[in-house]
Amino acid sequence: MIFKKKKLNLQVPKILNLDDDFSLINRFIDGDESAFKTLVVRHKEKVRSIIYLNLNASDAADDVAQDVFITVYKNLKNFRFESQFTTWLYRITINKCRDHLRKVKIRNIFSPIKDSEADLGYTPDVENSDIARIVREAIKKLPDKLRIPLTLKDIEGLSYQEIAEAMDCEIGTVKSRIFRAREGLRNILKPFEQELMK
Amino acid sequence: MREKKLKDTNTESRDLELLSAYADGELEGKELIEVEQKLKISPVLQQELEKLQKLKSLTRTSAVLPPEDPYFESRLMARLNSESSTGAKLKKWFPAAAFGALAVFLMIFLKYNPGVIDEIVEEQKTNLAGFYSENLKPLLFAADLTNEDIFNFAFYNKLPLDNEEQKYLHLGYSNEGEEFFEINTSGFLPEEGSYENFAKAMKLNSAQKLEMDSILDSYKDELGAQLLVNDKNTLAINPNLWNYNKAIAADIIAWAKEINKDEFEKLIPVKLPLYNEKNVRTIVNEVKSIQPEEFIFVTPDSIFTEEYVFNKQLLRQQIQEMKDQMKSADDQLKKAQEELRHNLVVSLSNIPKIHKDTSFNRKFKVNVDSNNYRIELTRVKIPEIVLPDFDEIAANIETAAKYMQSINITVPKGVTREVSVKMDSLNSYHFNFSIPGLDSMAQYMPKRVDSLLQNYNFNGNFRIDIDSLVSGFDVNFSDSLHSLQNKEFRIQMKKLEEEMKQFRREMENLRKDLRKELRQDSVKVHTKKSIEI
Repeated sequence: MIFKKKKLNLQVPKILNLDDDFSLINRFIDGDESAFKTLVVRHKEKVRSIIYLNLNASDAADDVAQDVFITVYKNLKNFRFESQFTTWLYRITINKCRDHLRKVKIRNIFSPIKDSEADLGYTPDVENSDIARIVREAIKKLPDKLRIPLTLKDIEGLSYQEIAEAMDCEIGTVKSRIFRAREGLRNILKPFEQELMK
Repeated sequence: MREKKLKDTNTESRDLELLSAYADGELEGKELIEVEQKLKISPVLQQELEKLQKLKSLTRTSAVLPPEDPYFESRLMARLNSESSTGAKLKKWFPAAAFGALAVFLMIFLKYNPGVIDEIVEEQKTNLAGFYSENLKPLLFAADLTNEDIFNFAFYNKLPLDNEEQKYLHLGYSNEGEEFFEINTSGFLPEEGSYENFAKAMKLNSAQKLEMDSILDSYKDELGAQLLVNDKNTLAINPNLWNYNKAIAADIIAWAKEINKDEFEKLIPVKLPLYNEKNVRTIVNEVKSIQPEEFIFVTPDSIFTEEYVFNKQLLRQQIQEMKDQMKSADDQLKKAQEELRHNLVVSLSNIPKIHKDTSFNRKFKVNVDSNNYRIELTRVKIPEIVLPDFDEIAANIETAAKYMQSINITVPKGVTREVSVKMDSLNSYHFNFSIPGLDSMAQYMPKRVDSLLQNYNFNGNFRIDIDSLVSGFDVNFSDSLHSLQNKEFRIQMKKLEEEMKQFRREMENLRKDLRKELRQDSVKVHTKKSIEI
């Protein structure tokens, strides 16, 4: 009896580690508002980082991050525990990014001058800019559907599986998009190949 | 051949895609084995893998992570609280609900009170009209119309509104024959003297000219009452102005034809439906009797028509009052001028020289304007003081001064004073003169000669530091006329004149010496000279 009890005590921390997000969600569903705050603290940097990368360091990034967590808060009671919380969270994050980018595009239709100015703003100049900036600008030029999986993989370190779930697509699609993103990136960076590949 | 090439391309592309996934550590099973085998034998793929890894590294390191936001949670919680509360939900919909309710209320209200908006508009219009129709005065007061202006109005359809800004009212007819008026600030204005030219062309004698003046004059008040202005930049125009335009022209034409038919027909050869004096009278009386109820108001904000009755009777009364006031002011002014003249004559009569000039009274001129009154003395014979050509002296002295190092004038105590003037290290002046105990002179003389001369600024404004030269003497010439009455001053003036003559002689001598000195250049000169004062 005593041995059995000890064994049970050893198992408890392991379970908590694995299902920590789930237990927090359960606590939230049971009415513990502080559990939500813990979730926010735990995941906010990742969420902010994804948004920041995908919105090109826009000033609106933090507002979008707030929107993500408000959506999470409103829908958390309906969470079905079928996938990781992070997968669900990243999907919401990516959808919010897409929404925002769509709004910006619509806004730019009504102010085309500003849009064209933004396009013209990037003038590669190796002598006066550092490599990181050149690569950043090149990534910005990729279409959303290639840029998002590339940054999620290479910068956020998500697996193809996680990316596929977050973007609601097949793993094969993720693999293909990441490959195409890299090809595109190499094309854009071709003028700087010698400097970059040193 | 082509198919083979395409197949090769596809294989190559698949290999590269697999290699990309391999670099990400996302391959397993058959695909992983396949890529590893190909990598072993293909240096191209190995090189490609190296490039992919470098690219991955560049992408990772290029990222700029967002700056920390320590208030993220608190802001989020605040937003969540505000969005979740019932009040906030209501608040969100409040503007829309309020506008909706207001729209419904207005719809119901306007359904039962359809005329209310018109009433409000009318009321506001009346208020606006009231504001702009305050203190309206005939243009006559503002622009002071002349007979020529009225003549130009009749024949050139242009009436000056503001002579300073060259603003004028132009009456005209559009292509459709409709009357219009313009307020112009530039453009064609009738040449000056058009009325005079007309009078000349008609060979009017002075009596006839006066008669025509009186005709034009008779319209002055009437015309003034058609155009009203006030301090709010409002111009109220009576539409009857067009009738006056025609009536004045008809009146003048009828009169001119009667006065000098030959000349008139030379001027206006075209057969016009001319009026005789009788039907012109009828027209004029008719025009004068028309009382249009609406004026056209031109204001800085808008142009509108509004009923306005201008009280001519009150205007005439006001004009009479003003004339009386002006007359009384004029009388007072004349009286003041008379008194002033009398006082001046009395006070100036003490001056023997000026008194000799019997025409003095007639040479006095007083100008009065709104800011001040001025007594001009240009015609008064001011006693002429003959002064040497100080400009020339100053120029000479200045030239000489260039060679001077220092000038010391020492005045030792005693009856005979020696004045020493050092020109430079080689040259020096010594001259003695007798001064009958004038201590002030002694104080004055040590001054540098050039600075002494600079004190004598005779360019129109006679200013001299004379007080040190003659004790107890204090005068400034520029406003010396006030002091003319002063008996003591006259004595001092005489003294001054004497002294000036003396001084002039001294200066002349000094100049001669200086010139001589300049000619001799480096030759040492000693001059001994007595100067009598």
